Amino acid sequence: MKRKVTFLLAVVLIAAMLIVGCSGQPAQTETPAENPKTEEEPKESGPSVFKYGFTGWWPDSKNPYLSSYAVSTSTYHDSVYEPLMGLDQNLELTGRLAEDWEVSEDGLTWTFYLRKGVKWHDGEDFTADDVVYSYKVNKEFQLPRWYSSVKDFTEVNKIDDYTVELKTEKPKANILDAMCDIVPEHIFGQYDTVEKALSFTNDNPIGTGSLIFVEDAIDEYVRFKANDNYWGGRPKLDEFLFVYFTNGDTLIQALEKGEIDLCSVTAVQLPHVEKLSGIAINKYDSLTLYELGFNAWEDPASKGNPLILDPTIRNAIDWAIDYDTMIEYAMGGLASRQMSLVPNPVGKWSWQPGPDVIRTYNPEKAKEVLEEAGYKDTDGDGIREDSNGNKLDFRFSVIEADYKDQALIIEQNLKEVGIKVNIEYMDDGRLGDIIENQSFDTDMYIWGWTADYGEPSFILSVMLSSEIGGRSDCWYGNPEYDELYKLQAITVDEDERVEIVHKMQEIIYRDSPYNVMYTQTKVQAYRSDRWDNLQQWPDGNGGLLNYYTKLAVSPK
Amino acid sequence: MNMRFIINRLIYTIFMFIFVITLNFFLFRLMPGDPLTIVSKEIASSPEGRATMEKMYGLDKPMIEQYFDYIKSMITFDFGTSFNYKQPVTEILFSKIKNSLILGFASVPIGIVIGLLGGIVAAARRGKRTDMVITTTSMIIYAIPTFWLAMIFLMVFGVKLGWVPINGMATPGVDFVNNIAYLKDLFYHLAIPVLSYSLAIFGSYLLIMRGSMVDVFTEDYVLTARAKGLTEKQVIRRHVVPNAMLPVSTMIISSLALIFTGAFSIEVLFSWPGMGRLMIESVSRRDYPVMQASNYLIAVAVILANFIMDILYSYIDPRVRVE
Repeated sequence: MKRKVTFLLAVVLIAAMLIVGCSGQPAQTETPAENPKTEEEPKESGPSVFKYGFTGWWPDSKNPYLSSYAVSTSTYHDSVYEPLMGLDQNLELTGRLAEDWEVSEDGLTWTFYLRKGVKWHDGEDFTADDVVYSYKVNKEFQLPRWYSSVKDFTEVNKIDDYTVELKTEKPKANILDAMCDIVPEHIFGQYDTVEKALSFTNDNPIGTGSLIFVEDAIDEYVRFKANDNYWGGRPKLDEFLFVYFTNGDTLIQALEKGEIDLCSVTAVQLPHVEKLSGIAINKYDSLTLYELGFNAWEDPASKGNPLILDPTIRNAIDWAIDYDTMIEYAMGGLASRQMSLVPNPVGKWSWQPGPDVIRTYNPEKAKEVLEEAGYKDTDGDGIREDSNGNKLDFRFSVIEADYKDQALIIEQNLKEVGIKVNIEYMDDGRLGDIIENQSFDTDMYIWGWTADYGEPSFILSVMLSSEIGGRSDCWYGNPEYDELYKLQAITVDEDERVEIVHKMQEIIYRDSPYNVMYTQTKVQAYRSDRWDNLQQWPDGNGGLLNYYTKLAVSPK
Repeated sequence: MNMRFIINRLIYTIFMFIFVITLNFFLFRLMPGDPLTIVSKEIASSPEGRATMEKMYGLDKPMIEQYFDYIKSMITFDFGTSFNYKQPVTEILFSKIKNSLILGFASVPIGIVIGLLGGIVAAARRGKRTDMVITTTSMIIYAIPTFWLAMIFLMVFGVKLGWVPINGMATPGVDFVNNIAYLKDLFYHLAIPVLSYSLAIFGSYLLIMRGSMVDVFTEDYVLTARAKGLTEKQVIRRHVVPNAMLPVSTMIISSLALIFTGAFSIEVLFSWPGMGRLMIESVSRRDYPVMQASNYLIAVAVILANFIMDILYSYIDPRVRVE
């Protein structure tokens, strides 16, 4: 009897397990190892399918007017739509939908000669009307995504079917700063009010790009096929898939297994991935910079500690922090020290502090700077005060999921020089709220930006006083800086412009509304046993998911 | 008498419903951060563009007006457009709920059945070695974090043995020749999630069933039954199990209602596009329409389940009806 019950239990449990197991692998016994391989089989006979695995957010919209997440651009828009011009692998200006271009003597009129014979994915001809429409609609409707790029144009004229003229009031230093995605007028034209234009879901994006949209499933994947008629030649692959993952470790397992061909790798995963065979690693310096930001808002409404408005203290904080240790422990070595606002890989636009102004880790120097400025610890509690007894005691808002380790190092480093910080953990929504809606109710925070290749104006714009309440997150304001920004935007002579842009970064370094900490070194891994000719952009030190890879990558 | 009981429960349910629906609106708006501040660090957005978006989302209206819009949308089941996906909320919810139900109805019943059977056997052999083995094993499995257990399965069955795919619900980018091929693919994708999910939950049913039965064993009517000369098997089947099922059935009904909410840790690990993930992400993106609609639907499901349970319970256990 006893044995019978135990036996029954065993049978029940095994049966239950089998039900679970079988429901998962119905064909396992009949056709061993055939089904799981179906994904790999087409490689030999069928189409070649390149799969890029990504984590993070799912793209917010296929509507190119509207989407505000960077991931929407990297998945949909960069594959389907094209601007007039872009940057080649050496970061030189190159024509995309424009074959050639010229600027008038006074620098106020830009003429673009469009490629002939380019067709939209639905077979319609691409003409000057599409370009005129795209520029006009973005400007007139103040559409969120491209408005800042197109707002300077006073006139957009069609000269003939393949020539377009753009006019500005002031010369434009870099026309690259004025590009927007060109959309087909015959599709978008019918959405003739702002409301209609923005609520258009664009379920089947039609562009001119090298990839043609096939289908997508929200939170699962986006599927593209090669554009046979692409003006730059047909891509070497047949299909390109973006596969969504919500877990970074599953992503790496999928790469190892071969369910995907290319993905990003974190510092923690890297040692494991490096050991895998058939997988190659691409490390490059990204344009993503991280900053220790301060409440630099000088308005009386600011709820920050007024002491943090003193650049001397912000400078001293820079002297006091051991960034090398931070990069090693908090970033697993995958970062490069960065001091100026424009990241080093942007090239000539990036300024480097000279030996007379550079601040490197030196706690003694930090103490000296603070002593000189009159911040002394008179009551012996380890925290410095100003002459009125106000303590150097700051609130530090930290996005816990992203910057906890960095914050702990900063807290410790600052304690050593007599500055107290109180870490408050939060998410990015809360941090945005503290700055935007609660009159900047904190003193310090950590955040980041991603700059652009070839053109510094975006990253420089975050320090403008006109961006307070907009893009700015430290609410720094400096009339001199604002003037220089306007000046560089219209300085056509490049050497002259570089000088202005450097001067601006020097001001920021001197005033320290941010202490820029480092730029992230990004790592990607791909199946080198299956694919050849992945391209770096920019060449030599760049990522693999780009326009050039989509064209050139080919199965082995 | 009986009708009055039902009406009482109904009034209570409606009151509950109004409370939840109001809380649902204000709770999310009290959260710091708004959907536009969230994207301020993403692609360059101009102040003009921001104003356009604010208008589009209806966030420029006064709070009280937003509240009445909200009530209207909840009653008409027209939940508006998701801030995050820029698509009708109803469409998104429908597909996510469907996916969560597929996963839930494949896993939860298995977990319940294993749990109940295990619990019955353990209780029948209480204090013996069988009981020890079953109880300890289930407690150990129950104590293992789900994501860890699932990751191990993923590595073993998915990567090392290569039997099953490890990500998503379907092999991306495959044109299935027919529905059979699609279902086959779905079954493959379900394998490890179902295994992990059912193992993660069966322990709680087992322990509750066992505990409930052990209690019933001490009741006088069990003694009476034994005195009547029934065999132990008959006692368990006719007297102990039906009575022990009372508390357990409440748990089962409410957990079936909660299948709607998805299984967050499983969904994240396997990128299963279900409700659990949708809800967490909509909170971190401050996607008010999705947050409201999903909470609303869950509240409706739970309140309805409770209502049905109250009514059913009064039939299963007549003591409840006595006022």
